[in-house]
Amino acid sequence: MAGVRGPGESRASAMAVEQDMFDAVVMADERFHGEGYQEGYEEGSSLGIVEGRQYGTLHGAKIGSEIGCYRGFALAWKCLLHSSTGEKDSRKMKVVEALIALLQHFPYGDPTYERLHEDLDRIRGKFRQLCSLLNVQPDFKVTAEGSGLAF
Amino acid sequence: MKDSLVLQSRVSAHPDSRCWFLAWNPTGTLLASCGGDRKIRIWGTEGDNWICKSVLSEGHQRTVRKVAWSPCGNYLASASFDATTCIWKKNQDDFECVTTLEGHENEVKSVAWAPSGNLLATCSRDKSVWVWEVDEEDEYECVSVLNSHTQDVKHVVWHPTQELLASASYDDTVKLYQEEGDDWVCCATLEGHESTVWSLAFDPSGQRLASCSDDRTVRIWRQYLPGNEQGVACSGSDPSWKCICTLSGFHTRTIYDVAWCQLTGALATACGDDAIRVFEEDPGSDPQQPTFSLTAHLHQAHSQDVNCVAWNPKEPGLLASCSDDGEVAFWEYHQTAGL
Repeated sequence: MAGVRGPGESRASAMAVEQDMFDAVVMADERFHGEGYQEGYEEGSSLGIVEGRQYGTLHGAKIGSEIGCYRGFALAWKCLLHSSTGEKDSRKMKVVEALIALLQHFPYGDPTYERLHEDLDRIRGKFRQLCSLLNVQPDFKVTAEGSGLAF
Repeated sequence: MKDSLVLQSRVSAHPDSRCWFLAWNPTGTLLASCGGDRKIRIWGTEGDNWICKSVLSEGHQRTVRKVAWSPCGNYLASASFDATTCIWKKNQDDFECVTTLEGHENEVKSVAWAPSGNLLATCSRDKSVWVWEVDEEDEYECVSVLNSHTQDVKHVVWHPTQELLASASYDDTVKLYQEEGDDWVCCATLEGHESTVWSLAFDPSGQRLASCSDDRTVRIWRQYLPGNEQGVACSGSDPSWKCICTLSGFHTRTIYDVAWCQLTGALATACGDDAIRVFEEDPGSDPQQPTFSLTAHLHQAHSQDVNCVAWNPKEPGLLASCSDDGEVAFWEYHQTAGL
């Protein structure tokens, strides 16, 4: 007949219920640990995203500021050298144009660009070479106020 | 050890200071030394003795770390911790500073002339390597600023015949550069050392490069061209470099310098354990997997760290060394015949 348990089965299922009860007590420590970890992880993740975003914004702005400065510098010198025709000046002009080309090809909108740091280093190298050729000392300070740039 | 290293003479080159580096002029008649006393001294022989023929002071505000002669022998370049590189022109026994190259942000660690004499390379703690071009009027122009290393760059050296530049760094790597179009680019990175790479030396043919490191090993690297018979993979038309030999277990401290004799092929090392060692390639060893044997080991060559070893370019077996103890020593290395 359905629903009726034999004596052996009754005892087994009663033991199973008992074991579950003890389990609940014995495993409580581990369970709370697990729940605590999960809560902490979720909270940490969301705090991390906020902090990461703040850092990224700041860092991105710094890079943008640096590159913007190089661009302004290069465009200004392009105008200044425009009228010069000496042989030395043609090398300077070549380097100015190479720097402008590097800056134009830089993907400003893509922070996941795989060669971001490599390209930035190339741009910085080109800028330093240009300063050397123009005999200009770069005295570059990017301050919190935003525009402490002097040459 | 059948071969031996015998002391010929010792001079107190930079008293109360360190002697950092030595460079023989192309004819092997003069030796330039530089040190922590901010001076450069030029040494020559008078009979059996080495005497100081010139002192170049007033060139730098801080330690002079390296010196290098131009291939023609008329110019000497000096790299200093004051962030500048001076170019000195030789006029008999006098030297005049004709140009000062600026641009590095901090200590210049090394300077080297290309075999053509038209190019100069410098490197610095600012992690960059600069390539300069010099024209007939002794005007220097920066041709490239290379930011490939991620740490302090310790040494630069040119290939003996090609316009190929090598650099060694605190970032544990060796990098190679060549001209591509209008610019210089890093064409290879040699990884393997487990600590700072202090110095580099090409073998006489330029097919192999030796590097020495703070990890107490010397590594030998070989260039493989695209389409090579050994089946070493190359990307595109760039050659590939592979480590074909590692000399380990011989040095008990950092190895600061390695020098490959262009006349005999012997390899000398300068070590922080105050010793000088010489290695020779075993005759008949496989060119793709060469073996080298230690043929001379001079304990206490100096009373402190040996900073540099330099083989004379014309006199086989003549080796100069210098140390933190401020002294320069001259040695004769004898290869036993029939080894």
